[in-house]
Amino acid sequence: MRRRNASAKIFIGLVALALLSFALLPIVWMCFTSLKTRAELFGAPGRLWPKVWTFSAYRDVLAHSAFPTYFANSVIVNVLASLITVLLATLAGYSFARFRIRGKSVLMLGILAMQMFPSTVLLIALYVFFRRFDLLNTYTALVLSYITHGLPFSVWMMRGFVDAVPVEVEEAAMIDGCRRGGALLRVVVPMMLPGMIAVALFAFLAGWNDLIWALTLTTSPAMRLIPPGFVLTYVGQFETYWNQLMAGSVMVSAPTILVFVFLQRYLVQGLTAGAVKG
Amino acid sequence: MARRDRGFALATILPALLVLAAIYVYPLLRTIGYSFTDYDLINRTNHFVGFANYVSLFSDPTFYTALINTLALGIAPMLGAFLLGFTEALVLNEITAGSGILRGLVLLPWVVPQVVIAFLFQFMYNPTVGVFNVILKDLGIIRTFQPWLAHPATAPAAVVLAYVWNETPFFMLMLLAGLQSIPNEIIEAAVVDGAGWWQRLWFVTLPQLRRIIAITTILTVIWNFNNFTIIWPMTEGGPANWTLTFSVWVYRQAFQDFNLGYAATIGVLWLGLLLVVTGFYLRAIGGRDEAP
Amino acid sequence: MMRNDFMAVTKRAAAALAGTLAILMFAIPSHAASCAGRPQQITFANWAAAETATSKEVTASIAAFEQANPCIHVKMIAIPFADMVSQLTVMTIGNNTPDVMELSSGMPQALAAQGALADLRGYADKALISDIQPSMLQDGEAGGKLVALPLSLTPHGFWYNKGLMTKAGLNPAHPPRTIAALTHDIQVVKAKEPKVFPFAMMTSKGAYTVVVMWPWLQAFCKRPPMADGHLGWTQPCTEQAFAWFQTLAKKHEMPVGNNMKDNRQLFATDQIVFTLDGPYLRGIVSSINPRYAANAAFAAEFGATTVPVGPNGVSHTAIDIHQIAMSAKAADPKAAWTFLRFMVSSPADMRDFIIPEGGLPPLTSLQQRFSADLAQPYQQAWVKEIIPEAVPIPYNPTWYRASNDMVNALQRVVNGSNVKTTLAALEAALKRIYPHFRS
Repeated sequence: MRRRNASAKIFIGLVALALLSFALLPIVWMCFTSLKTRAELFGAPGRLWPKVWTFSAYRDVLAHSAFPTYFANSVIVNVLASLITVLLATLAGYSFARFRIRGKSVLMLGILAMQMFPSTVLLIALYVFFRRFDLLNTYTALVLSYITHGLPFSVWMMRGFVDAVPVEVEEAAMIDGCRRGGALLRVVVPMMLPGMIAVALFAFLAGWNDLIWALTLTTSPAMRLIPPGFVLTYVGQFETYWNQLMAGSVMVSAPTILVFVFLQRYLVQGLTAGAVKG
Repeated sequence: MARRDRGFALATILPALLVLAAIYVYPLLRTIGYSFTDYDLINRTNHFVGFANYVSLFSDPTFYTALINTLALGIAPMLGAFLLGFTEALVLNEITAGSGILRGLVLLPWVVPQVVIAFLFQFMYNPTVGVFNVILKDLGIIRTFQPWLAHPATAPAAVVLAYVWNETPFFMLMLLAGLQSIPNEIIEAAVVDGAGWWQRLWFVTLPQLRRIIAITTILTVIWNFNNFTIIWPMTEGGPANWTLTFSVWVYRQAFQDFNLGYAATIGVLWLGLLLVVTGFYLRAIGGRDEAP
Repeated sequence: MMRNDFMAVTKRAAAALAGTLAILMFAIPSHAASCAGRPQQITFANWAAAETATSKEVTASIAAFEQANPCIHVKMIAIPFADMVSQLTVMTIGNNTPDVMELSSGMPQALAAQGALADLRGYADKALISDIQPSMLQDGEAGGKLVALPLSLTPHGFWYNKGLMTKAGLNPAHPPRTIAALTHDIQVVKAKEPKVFPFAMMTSKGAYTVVVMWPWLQAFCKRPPMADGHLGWTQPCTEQAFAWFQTLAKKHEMPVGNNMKDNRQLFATDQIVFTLDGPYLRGIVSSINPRYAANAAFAAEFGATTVPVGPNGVSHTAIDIHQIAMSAKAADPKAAWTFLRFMVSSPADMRDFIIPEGGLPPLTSLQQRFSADLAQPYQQAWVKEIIPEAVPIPYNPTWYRASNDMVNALQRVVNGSNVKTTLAALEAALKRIYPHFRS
């Protein structure tokens, strides 16, 4: 059934090419623009590749803006939030999978509904709260808020992963003298590692995309993360520095792309685990 | 459950529940509380006003604008991304040589940070130097450069296109996983029965993917409903509120006008609407919960 | 506790790494002048530092200040222009208003309403005050207090492209001085040169759109549609002004939806004939189009004068200037004032920052002192005609809330909505914000 005639093959190839250009054109445009001079940007609009190749936009971004600070802040907040998310979700996911708990289905439904809550709505009350306790412009407030991006869904994902680990393995370990916690740590966690990576990635990507929390909870430039750093830096009163903006874009995209290239299969596995089998 | 297990279950579940209570339940309750006040950081008022905010919200024409825009910008990109993503998945499922690289490449738009997408598309739509204008002019579709994000008709469409670009790979990933999990025997049986390509797609493949399609589409719609990172830098809800969604409106009311009481009221009503959609989502993945 | 320490260490390490990188890349030597007394630090929020084009200039000016005042260190907080009010409001609510702030017209009134700004009358001496044009001073008043001083005089003037006027058969020595003449010239240009926009006005998102529109509203109306406790959006002269905008848009005589920056690109590349903009447009034009970098080439192609007069008979450009203010809760008010005064009145700041940025010195005495640097024809138009005639926009504390609705109405009208009903809806929307204003 996989044999196809030549015209069908050509048709599939053309469709693939069209879809590929749709996906890649903006990215290519971004990369080339970041290598242009400002004069060329306005002088020859639409020219794809630069006439004069220059890294000056990158140099400007690194030197004149607080970009390295933003980057460090983003990494710190997102890594901490993802780690906490994984820890909480693994523990809760395990027990939700293994034990009969009264009201479990209601709890699980409630948790899933939370994932649908819009940040803008949560933000109002949390902003007032953080302000009262002098937590604006702190990592504490940012990390706590960034947990909202992934925790509810992560509990669900982890529960699915634990379900996939046979109970017998664990029982064998417990007969060998392990307590429940020991069995979880020594037997279940190693088997769930792919799931934990998926959860961490999910939380990390969601956090990396956030603008609204970071924009609202921080006002001091020393605490700024990348997305608000973007919004608040390159769009000037007099002009917009498109080449710098695109250079910054390339630098911000590169880490997530790299992380994703190496770890994508875990995320796909995690996202589809529940959906495909069910 | 054994006594020791009960303690263990409590100790493992409680931390997550406490955090969720702190970052979801508490703010939700407070927000509902604010919706009955005239809490305003600029005019410095904070009194109980009963349902006054709700009354003025229903008489505020902007509410209906935001409602329609939120629905449109939630659903339209989902449809576009579904069509393109499904096509991608079908193509990738057929191709054998180089499908890994191809999959990696078409995946990129999903991994590019959304704030980058917002500025990248704004740049491409730029009325004086945008590549979008250059291409359309070269193709003879437009005569002069257009400010795509400034016209009532094109601004929402321009935003939709950015969403579609971002979300297509998500559909591709999920649907490809779904396609690959369809047992070969089912398809071969259909071939033996003489079913053509379209018939197989319609009667065999799509029914097999029903659940995954339901989940993916509803998740996407909810993500779009809540999107702020792309739409705020692109349009801030403009021009003339033509792309104003609840997300943008609540932010504007709360953190530009600092009119917290009214912002909370909008948020509460919007959340009610979202819970209805979530209800559909839960039904789509229903049955999941009965597993031990 | 431990986590905080850990984060502090990580952060410091990251910052140190970034700092080292920057030093390695550019090898900037640091000349810290020595301080004999107690070292102090003040924070200065501004948008000049947020932009590559101006950050070097403002940094030079601050270096000069620190050289003269070795005990005061100025820490910059870069905030982009469009986010200034909302960011400063968030900071004020969070109780960390910067000590000194660069502001733009309208912002002092919004921030003063929250008690964020200090009354400068307690600090400024008579000699300084009398050196400032009264209308410019008035623009920094709120609730009977003087909360901001002018930093750089940048009201909008009427710019015209002489080359394009000549091409269209108009006499560039006589730019239009009335709305009727302007309308006529616009039609002449459109007929002769269909590829250029005869006219341009910002109609995109943002409160700035209202500032740009205001001089035209003043040209049409004796009393602008919002002033002294009055709303006048449905008065006939406002409707005439909006009908005028609508016609220009409908006939493609002006671009619709462009922001200021888009229009500046078009203006710099000879695609716009008439527009309102600040004196700094000269610098932007030469940065976009090197052809006009030389003074002579620029003066040959572009001219500036006052806003054409309407049925009202008077030319009033709206005061849109850069201002400077200090926090009511500045940790060290004396140091903050020392810095503020330096920015307003020191020749070093004019030489390093204000004049290179394209503005005019706020003090009359400084305008005279730097007359050699302000001798270009367009600068003379500002000094002699535009600045003396400028009047403040009637700002109030909730102006920014209201500006959203005003911009919406303008965008609806230029996209073809009915003028009368749109303005009636605007009046109703503003009634919600200003319940005590009379119609």
